[in-house]
Formats: sequence, structure tokens, C-alpha cells
Amino acid sequence: MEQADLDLIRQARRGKPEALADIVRNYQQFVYRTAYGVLQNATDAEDATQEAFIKAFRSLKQLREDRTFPTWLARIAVRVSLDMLASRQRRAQLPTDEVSPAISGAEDAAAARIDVDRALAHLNEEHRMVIVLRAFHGLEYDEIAQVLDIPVGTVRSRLHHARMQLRRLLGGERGDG
Amino acid sequence: MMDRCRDWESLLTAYVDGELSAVEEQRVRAHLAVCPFCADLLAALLADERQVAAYAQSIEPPPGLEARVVAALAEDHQVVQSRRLIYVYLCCSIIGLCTLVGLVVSPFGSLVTLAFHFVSAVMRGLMAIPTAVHQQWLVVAAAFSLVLLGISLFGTARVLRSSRKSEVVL
Repeated sequence: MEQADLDLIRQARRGKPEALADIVRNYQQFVYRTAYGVLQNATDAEDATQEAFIKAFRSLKQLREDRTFPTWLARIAVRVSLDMLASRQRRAQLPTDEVSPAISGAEDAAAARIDVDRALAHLNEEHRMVIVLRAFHGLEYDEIAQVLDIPVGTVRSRLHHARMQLRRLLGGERGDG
Repeated sequence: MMDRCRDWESLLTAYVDGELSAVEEQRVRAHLAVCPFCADLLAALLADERQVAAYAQSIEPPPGLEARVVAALAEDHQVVQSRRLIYVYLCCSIIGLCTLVGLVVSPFGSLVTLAFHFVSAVMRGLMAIPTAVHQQWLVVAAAFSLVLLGISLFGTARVLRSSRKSEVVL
């Protein structure tokens, strides 16, 4: 984590509005990707991103170590996304791909993206979350354990099962299974 | 995939993440050197990893999201501030009420109550005098005298102050 971000967090804790805006600018992609990875829906991911930032800034004073801000923020984003997912499941709505986020890259990349979209949608929540935290953000096992509040051994086991399931799903799409 | 290689699968996924101990990593490398099935699986896992990472990179927040979040934060801040202000008012009211009750109950409060009753009784007594003596004109004359006395005192004070400052009065 950069010193500039640490300074911004200190300023935000003192209630400086410019610091809040800068943190949103720097971390919106991080939070949005996490939310999108879990929810698989652009509209819900936007709502979850907004909610996650509101919750984070409301409880910023509870953050003990500024250096752990990204992990702490990821934890909030995951929880908000899971709550939203539960709410969506209660409404009996299936994940939709009618509203997709901006796609960068050529058509092949877009096709590959759709494959991963489908594969991730087939994973259960637990497996999807560990993939999002590890493959999207490159968090270490102990950081994932902190975010999800589970033992490191469980992270390792979940990642293994998630990867093997992804292997079957993506291998089928690529024809290398 | 050979059945005897199933045990290596979990090690391979952790190997991809670089989360194995040095000893485990060495064992996996030694196994990969002699097992084409596990070598293929490792290559496939790495390809999946790259594909998922590329997918993650392609997810971009919509352009208006930042402004929307900042606006929502400002609104939330105002709501929180309003709520805090209500708590402050409530606390002040409770403290004020408690102080008032405490004053009334305390010996000082009793003294204040006694003084209030005394002043009230004196005022009532003064108001009753004209009616008692049936001479209302006396009250009018007394009030007029008091007004004259006030004006005289005010005028004298002005004259004294002006003479100290060597001013011309009028």
C-alpha cells in the first residue's frame, strides 16, 4: 500500500471530504470488481460498491491498522455483496447478463470473458469468493482467510476445489479438458 | 489423469499460488518432472489463471460510478450529522431537566423557592395597599414621583460625567 493512500486514510478519518473522494477514485475499481465477481451482475455490483463505501467510511474509525485498509475494504465489499446475493435469491432472481460492464479488448477477449462469466456463475458462493479474492486481486491465503474469517487451511481447500471445478468448466469451453 | 496422481492435485493448486513450503515445492517439482499428466494439469491450471486474470482486468466500473458514490457519501454524511444533532439536543434537554430538578430538590433550590415566595408576597402586599386605604391617587402620585426621581438621577449623572470630560452640556 502506498504512503499517499495511508495519508488519505488518515485525512478521511478526520472527516476531510476531499480525502473520501480520492479514496473512492483509487479503490472504486477494486471494490467494483470484487462485487461484480461475487454478484455477476453490473447493476447489483454498482449498488454493492456504493453500499460498501458508505459502510466503510461509517466505520473507518474502527480500522486499527491503516495498512490493512484494502483487506478490510474487501471484507466489507464481500459481505455487502453476499447480503445482496441473499436478497436477490430471496426474490428468486437468477443472475442476469443483460447489463454487462464495459468490456475492454477485442472480440476474442470478449468471448473468453463470457466463458469465464459462465464458469464463475456455475461456482457456488464460497468457491466464487476465493477465486475473486485470489485471481482477481492476488490476495495471499492468510489475507483471504482474514477477509472471509475462515482458517487458512479452508482457504487452501476451497481454492483447490474451485480451481478444479473451473478447470472442468473452462477446459470444456476451450476444448483442452 | 491417473488415479495415483489425485493426491497431487491439491498440491498443484497451491503450487500455482506459490503457497507451498520449500520441501513441498521441491517434491512437486520432482513429481512434475516424471509425470506428464500432472505437468499437463499444471499447464491447464496456469492457463485458467491467466484467463480469469484477464477477465478480472476487463471488468471496469461504469464512468458515473465515482460521482454517484461520492454524492451518496455526502448525503449519508448529512444524514449522520442530522442524527447526531438530534442526539445533542436530546442530551442537552435531559441534562437541563436534570439540573432543574436537582436545583429544586437541593438546599440551594429550596432557598431560591423561598426567595421567590418572599418577593411574590411583597409584590402582592404592595399591590394591595391602594385598595386597602381607598386612596388610588396616592399610587399615581408615588409612581409619578418615582419617574421624576429617575429622570433627576439620570440628569445629574450626565452633568457629572460631562463636567469630568470638560464638555458643554445641552
